[in-house]
Amino acid sequence: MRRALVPFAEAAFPFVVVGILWQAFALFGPFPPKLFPQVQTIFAAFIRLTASGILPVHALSTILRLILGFLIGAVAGVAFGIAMGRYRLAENLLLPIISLGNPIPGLAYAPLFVIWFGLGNVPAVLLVGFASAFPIVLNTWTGVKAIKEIWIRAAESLGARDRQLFWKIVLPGALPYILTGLRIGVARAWRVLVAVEMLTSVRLGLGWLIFGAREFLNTDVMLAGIAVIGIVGLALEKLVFQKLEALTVVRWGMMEQ
Amino acid sequence: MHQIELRNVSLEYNSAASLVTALRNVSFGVDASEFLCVVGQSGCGKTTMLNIIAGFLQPTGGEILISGKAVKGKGLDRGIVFQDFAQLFPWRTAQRNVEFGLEMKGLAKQEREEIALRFLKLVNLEKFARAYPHELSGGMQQRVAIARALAYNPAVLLMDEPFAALDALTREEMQLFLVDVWRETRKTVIYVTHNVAEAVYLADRVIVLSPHPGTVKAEVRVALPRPRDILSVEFLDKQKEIVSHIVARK
Amino acid sequence: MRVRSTLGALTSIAVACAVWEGFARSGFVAPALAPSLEAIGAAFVRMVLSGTLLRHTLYTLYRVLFGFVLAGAVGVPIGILMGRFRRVERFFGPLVSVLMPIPSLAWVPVFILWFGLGNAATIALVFYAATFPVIVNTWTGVRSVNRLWIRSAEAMGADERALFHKVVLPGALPFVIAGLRQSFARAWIAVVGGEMIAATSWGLGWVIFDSKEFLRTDVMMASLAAIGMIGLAFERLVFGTFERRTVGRWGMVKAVRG
Repeated sequence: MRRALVPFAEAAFPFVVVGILWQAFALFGPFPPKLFPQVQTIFAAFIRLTASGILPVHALSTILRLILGFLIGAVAGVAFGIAMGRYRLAENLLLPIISLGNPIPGLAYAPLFVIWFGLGNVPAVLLVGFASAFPIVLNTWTGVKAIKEIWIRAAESLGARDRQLFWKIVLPGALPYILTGLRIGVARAWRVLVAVEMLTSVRLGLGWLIFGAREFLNTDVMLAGIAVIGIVGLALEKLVFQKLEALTVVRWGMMEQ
Repeated sequence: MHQIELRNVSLEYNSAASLVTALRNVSFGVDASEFLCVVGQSGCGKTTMLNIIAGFLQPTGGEILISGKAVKGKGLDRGIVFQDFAQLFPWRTAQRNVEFGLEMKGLAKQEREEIALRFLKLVNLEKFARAYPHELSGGMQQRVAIARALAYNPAVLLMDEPFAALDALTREEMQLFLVDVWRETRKTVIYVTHNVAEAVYLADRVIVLSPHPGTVKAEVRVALPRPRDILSVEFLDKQKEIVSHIVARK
Repeated sequence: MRVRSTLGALTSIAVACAVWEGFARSGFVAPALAPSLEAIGAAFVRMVLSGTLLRHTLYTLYRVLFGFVLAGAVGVPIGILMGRFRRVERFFGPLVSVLMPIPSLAWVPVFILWFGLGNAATIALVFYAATFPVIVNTWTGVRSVNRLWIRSAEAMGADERALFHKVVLPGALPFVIAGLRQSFARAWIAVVGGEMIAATSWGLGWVIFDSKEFLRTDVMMASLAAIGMIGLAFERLVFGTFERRTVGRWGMVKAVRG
């Protein structure tokens, strides 16, 4: 029992230190308590909002938007990436445009999307899909191109035809890259989403919650909201992606743990 | 007195399963300017032994003496050349790589450059002094590595299968070349290899290490005149002799 | 080969432009929503000539560079310490993995309350966004310095200080550069987003936000183009050159995507 606690205590230690520093700053620092709430105030806000159901509702709607937007981006991204990887024409046509669009922050398109689609959920979801698609396309394309010639030749000499090649060789072979692209895509989607919610005035969402709280200087609510964002992000990484990787590419020895 | 002496060197460590004895009571001596080869099958501990002499590992028993003094840790009295070309620092030119040991010794810039160029000349690479390692072939990189290990005048040169990663032709070239360098510098060399023919070609004396645990199984003198003819009867006989020691049951 | 791909790139951009132009002029949507390339170009030229584009760009650049340099100054040392000392790694590691996934822009309202409207909040945002990739990549870089280099250097008599300056730092450079690259990309996002949400005055992000009020899509797209070009320029000119002069010349390049 004690053995299991040690690594947990070790991981918690830096947070304890930060908590103490925070508390000290809140108590003795230049900011008034409303602006820089003490640790227990934030905690209380967190409990209050969770109990009343407000936090879960906002969190849920943000997550739903994320899932929807990301699915759009992922499907489109993988499709385009594979097309670009397999067919020279698609690559020549699409790569320059995508490379040019990649460094533009997804968020920069937000006002444009608002003008086109109005306020609310539609621009938010579409923007998430749009922003997350870029890294997915690029990584998928890299992955398809990286499929060792030798695997394709081996498969063809064993009688595989186009469709089988695709499902049995191309997809699994490109999987490590696709997963990396999806990972980066989710991170981008997440980053864009929170900001987009602030800009597109969705009625429910973590971004909106944080943004709206500034009107009444409810810093404790804001920080509680940020904490939730952190938790969800962490959960996404640990529960979803690491598991996915462990089940596929790590097991096949294609990626280091 | 031997220049280098190993006395009852042992190394044990704890692995996941049990206590592993990598080396047990390894003892031998090397005279000044002698070329000693250590051969044995994979896993017999020859690289481990070399690492201990170099000071990267601490033996759990026994001691190593150089010129009568016990060896503690790493030091400028030993030079080492590894098998991997990546041992050269990619961000330094060939010359600057060779200068490294001299920098550590605290030599002035002028002197360093002179000495470095001299050693590059020794390995026939003075024309490539300004080249970066990735611009050189494998054989050339190993030559730079040798120059680097010799430049600061260590008492002994340790080599861990330095030519194993090269193609056969380059390897032969390098072996010939190494003998020339050794003759000219009169350095003491301890050379580890799994290639018996290579050992017979290079060494004055060959030590055979047996695995699990690593112990000295046999010591064979190679008194053939140089340059050695690998196809001669004496050469092949020596090879057979050493191989017989390797495969012999205890 | 080079000529071919440039030609291909130009062709595809030309095709994309043609498609857009056709769409814009078709009357499918109001011109205010989908401005023709001519309108966008005109808006762009207007902004350049009147000096407004330059002014906005300078404001944005100032904010992003300030925060970015700060992030480098803080992140690289922390990353190095984490790579060398287990204790430091165990302390900062959990903090980084928890804070890094939080989008920098989530902090905008809090930062506005703390630092007020204006440069400080945006710079703080850029700093937050840019620091973590630098830390993580520097840390990884230091940890993956080839052991052979360390051993060779130790065998040649290098002490801790010499090892650090002459082996660990140059050895970790490819990763550090990759980290700085990623970090700049994030900083760029943070500054544009921060300018939009915090509604600071002046700045490329602010221009886009402001032009929304008046449905000036042509101005918006011109600004988007500017944002893209500056980001690209930095990537190619600044990082690309630095990379070529150091790790490229040494044959140590690591290709990073995303």
